[in-house]
Amino acid sequence: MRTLAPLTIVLGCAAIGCASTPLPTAEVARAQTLVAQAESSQAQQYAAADLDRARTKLQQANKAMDAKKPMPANQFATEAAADAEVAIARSQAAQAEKSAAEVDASVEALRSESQRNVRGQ
Amino acid sequence: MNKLPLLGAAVAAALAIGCATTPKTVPELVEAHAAVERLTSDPLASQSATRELQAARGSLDNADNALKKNRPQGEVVHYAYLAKRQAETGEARLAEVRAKEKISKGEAARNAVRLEAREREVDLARNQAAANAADAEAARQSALSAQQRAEEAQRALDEQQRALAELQAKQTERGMVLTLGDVLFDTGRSELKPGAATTLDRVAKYLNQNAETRVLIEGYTDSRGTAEYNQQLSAQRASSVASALETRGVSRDRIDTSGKGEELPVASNDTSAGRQLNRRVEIVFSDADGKFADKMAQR
Repeated sequence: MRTLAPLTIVLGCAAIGCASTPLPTAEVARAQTLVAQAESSQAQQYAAADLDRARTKLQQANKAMDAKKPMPANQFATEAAADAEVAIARSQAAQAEKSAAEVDASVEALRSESQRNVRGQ
Repeated sequence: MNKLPLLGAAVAAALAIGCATTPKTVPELVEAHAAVERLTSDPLASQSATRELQAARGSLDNADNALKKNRPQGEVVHYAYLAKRQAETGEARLAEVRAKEKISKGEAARNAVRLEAREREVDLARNQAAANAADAEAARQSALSAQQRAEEAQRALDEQQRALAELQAKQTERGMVLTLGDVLFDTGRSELKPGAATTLDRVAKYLNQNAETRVLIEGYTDSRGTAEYNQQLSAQRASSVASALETRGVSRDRIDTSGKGEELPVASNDTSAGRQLNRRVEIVFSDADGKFADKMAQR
């Protein structure tokens, strides 16, 4: 199939001017999944700009799909997926950093309380 | 560092197609190279962002190739964008890994502090328990010795009471009082008759066993004769008893004597039986510490 596809495109392109290039359904679906995953990773809170970019590009990809334009659809979809992955990673990193800061604060609190208890003895 | 071959490729491409398009730097591609370079230089990347690093390098190659093959600039920018974003994803992954390391270190530190605090509490509780046990033991000991002292005092008191009871002394408001009847003296005389010896032996023995006890010896008469005579006679009789005790080993210091004469009759002087009761010598005993129950008894 893989070896046949470019051949088909080339032949198709030659015959009817690239109208038959397959639409990137899988790429769009992947972008869709990653955007949803970013949303459930609280990216709206921790990586809003990246999530917004991903959403915008996903919309553009879908528009291109509707317009049967495979090339921009593919580019928008893959960029949307990359943006969503950035959003997921940054959101998870931010949450981990927040937890780390909380743990640090609690260690400090525990230490000072412990010191106070020692002095209180 | 990758700029030179890239530039070379661009120049070569431009030359190959006769400079139809001037070779230009694509700012997005420059940015992408910088981002991938930044991720590569992080020592943690090769183990914790392998997938992202690989993807970013692949996209960067695609971008470089697109430029080299003189593909439309949109394609170069597209791959460059992917490369930059994939590198950024890798960086975020590394930040997450570092934050998680920090969390586990923090948790370990927190556990250490907690453990330390708990150990200290245990120590404290143990010390407190030991102190409490010591206090309790001390309290028990002191309660014991207080009880022992009380019991001892009670035993001594009982013993004294019992011994005095043996002497046929009576408990009165003035303490224990032993009354010696008139049968110990001849009428008008103050010398003790031999029959008094047994009683006086017992009194002396008691006094010798209770070294702190003091006695007050009081002589009394009935109302016949003059008051003055009676007073003298009663004083002499009290004195006789004192001397008798002294010869039995009781120090004179412990004995007071008093002649009361006709005072304080215990019965009516109108009958001979009453008068007989009034003729008497009373021995008043102090307690074991030499104190008399009634201050009147101490003169």
